Amino acid sequence: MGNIYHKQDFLAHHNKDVEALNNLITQVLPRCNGLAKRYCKTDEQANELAVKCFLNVLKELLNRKEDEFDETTFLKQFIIYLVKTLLAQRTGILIADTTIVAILKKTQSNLFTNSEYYKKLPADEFIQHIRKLNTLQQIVFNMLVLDNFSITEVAEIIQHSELSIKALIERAKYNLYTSIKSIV
Amino acid sequence: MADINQDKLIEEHLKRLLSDYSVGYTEEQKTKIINEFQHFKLHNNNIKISFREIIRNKTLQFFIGTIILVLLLIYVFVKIFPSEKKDVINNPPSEPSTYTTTNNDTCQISPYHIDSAKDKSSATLTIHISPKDTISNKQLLNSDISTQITETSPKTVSLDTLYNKPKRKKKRISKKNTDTDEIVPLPLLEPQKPQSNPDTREEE
Repeated sequence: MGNIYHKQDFLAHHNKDVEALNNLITQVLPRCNGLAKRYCKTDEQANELAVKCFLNVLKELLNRKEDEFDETTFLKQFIIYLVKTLLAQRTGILIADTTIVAILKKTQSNLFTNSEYYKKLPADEFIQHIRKLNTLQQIVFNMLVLDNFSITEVAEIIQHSELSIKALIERAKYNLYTSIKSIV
Repeated sequence: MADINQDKLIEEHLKRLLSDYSVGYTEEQKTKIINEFQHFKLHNNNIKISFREIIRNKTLQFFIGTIILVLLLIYVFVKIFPSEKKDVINNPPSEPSTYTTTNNDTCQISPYHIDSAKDKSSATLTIHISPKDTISNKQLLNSDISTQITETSPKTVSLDTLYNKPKRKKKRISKKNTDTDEIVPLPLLEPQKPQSNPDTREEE
């Protein structure tokens, strides 16, 4: 559940609001930056959207009737806001990416290599593989596999049917794991 | 089959590694967030914040509650006890009232009776004069509460208060006839024909 934050602390005067905000930034902003890095295509985009979505989520939660909110609620709202912002920023015609990179076709599963090679890879490298995916596939993979959203929730947020979400996730997994295995 | 198992392993590894993945924030990000929040708070939530603080402050709650209670009590009091003017018209006094003239003579005024069959504005006034003292018209006219009864119809009279009729010559009552006091008919009063109205002028 995480830490609980009280609305009145943010709305108080005499520097109490700054103190509450500093506390929230210290606890939650690093997680938000990490989420933005997974969902966005570049680090610059991730830094910009992390701040923007952080503020918008805070304003929305302060405008709600509830007197307090926890870290989990904040992060969930952050993800939803981030996804909607990314989808709104997309330009051009979308082309479904079902092709596999040509280099990867040469690779075959090698019985003599260490099957646990992927465990040595750092997190940033995995994120680079995730960024290679199509925007929608990247979003769907992050939401369903890493952030534990349900298919219904994802379908509602992205405005797609559940069947298309299922197809998207299967394609995303195949492309991602193939991309990871290709480094061997 | 091996690939499927490996995919699952990779997926589990990714979940463990990236689900709590965090990146440190910069000072630039922090100052930007604080400035934006202060700006947002100043321009959008001033009224809401003060209102919320008022509601939450118990002392202010107490004061506002007492003010509302007092206003309610005043409202209820006004409803229960309306103004006197209405009472006089709706509930005429039943007991006779007395007044004293300048010579300390007492006169008894019976309560006026409003004939409901007639116009309500008209009223009859009967004055009972004490048998002990004789009151001249002049004294009566000079009394504090001097009234003039004006005739509006042959049967009814209307009462106007606080009007001093000009003096008229009246016969003096002789002192010899003390037993039988002659009461000079007052111009202010007119004899009344017997009616259902029980209040009539008495002569003694």
